[in-house]
Amino acid sequence: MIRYMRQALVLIVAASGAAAFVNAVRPKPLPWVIDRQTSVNPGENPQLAAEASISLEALRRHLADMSATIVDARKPDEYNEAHLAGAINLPSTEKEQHLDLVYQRLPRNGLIIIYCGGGNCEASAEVFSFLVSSGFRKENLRIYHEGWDVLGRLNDIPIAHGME
Amino acid sequence: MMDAGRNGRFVLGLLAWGLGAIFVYAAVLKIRDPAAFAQAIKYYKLMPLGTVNAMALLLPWWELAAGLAILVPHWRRAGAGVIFALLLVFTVAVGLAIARGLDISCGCFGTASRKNTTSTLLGDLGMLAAAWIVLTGGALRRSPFFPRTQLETPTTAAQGAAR
Repeated sequence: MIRYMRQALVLIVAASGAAAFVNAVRPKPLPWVIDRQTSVNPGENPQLAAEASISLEALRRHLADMSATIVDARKPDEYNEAHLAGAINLPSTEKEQHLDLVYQRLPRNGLIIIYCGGGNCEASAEVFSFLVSSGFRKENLRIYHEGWDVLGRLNDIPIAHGME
Repeated sequence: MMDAGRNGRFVLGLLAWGLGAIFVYAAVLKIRDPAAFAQAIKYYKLMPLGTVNAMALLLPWWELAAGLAILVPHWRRAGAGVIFALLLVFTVAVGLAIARGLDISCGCFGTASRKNTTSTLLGDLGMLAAAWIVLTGGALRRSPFFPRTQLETPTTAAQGAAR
């Protein structure tokens, strides 16, 4: 019994060492503790989350004069069901597979407004961080935190279905 | 006549290899993308934010070490013990996520993960049972999964001989 516990301890210690080593030599190491400064998640960095948020009125204005690119961060099936007309689907769960879309369809210097399901959805924050790490400027990115929960109930904004 | 000892060892080996393969596979997928696994852990809303990344970095390597150890006879019990402990944590986490109605991916197999459902939970419980059997391997004949009577009672032996 003692022998097995000692062996298990050896396993854990050796594996932890390997984890630290591999993370250290990785091209982009994951910080051991989350850096709250670069996060836009309201729970982690309320200040940046507040700065990046956009109100429904402002969103409506940008929709009306088409002065912003809209990104839908929800899953493709949710997007297909219904989304803001003209919104580009960049699912937070498979954003790495959509790099072509990021570089071809998102403006480098224009305003980008991101939304997801609403409530506590974290997809927008994830896409926000992803875009920042892909070279987009924080100042050009906004999140509509209330998301589809609210947008889906409005009947005076253009809604589209299926892929765009 | 079946040789209970050999059969038992065969079943143990099969369970150990099954668990080992699953754990190594799951570990490699998560080691390739620790950031995605950190996100998956975050969605469970069980861990303090400060510990999420450390968990995401360490857990897959513990899985890998345990998954490899369970394949080596001399290390089998230790590997099974670590796997059992990890599975306990996973099962509780998945159970709580389902109970709290969190609509999240299990995160078990990196980006190839499916959403948490009761079948995720059943899978975890099945693996827990398998890990327990491997862990208590020496006591196999006394374990409830392989009742001694079924394997080698004189009556069954006699019946076998009579036929």
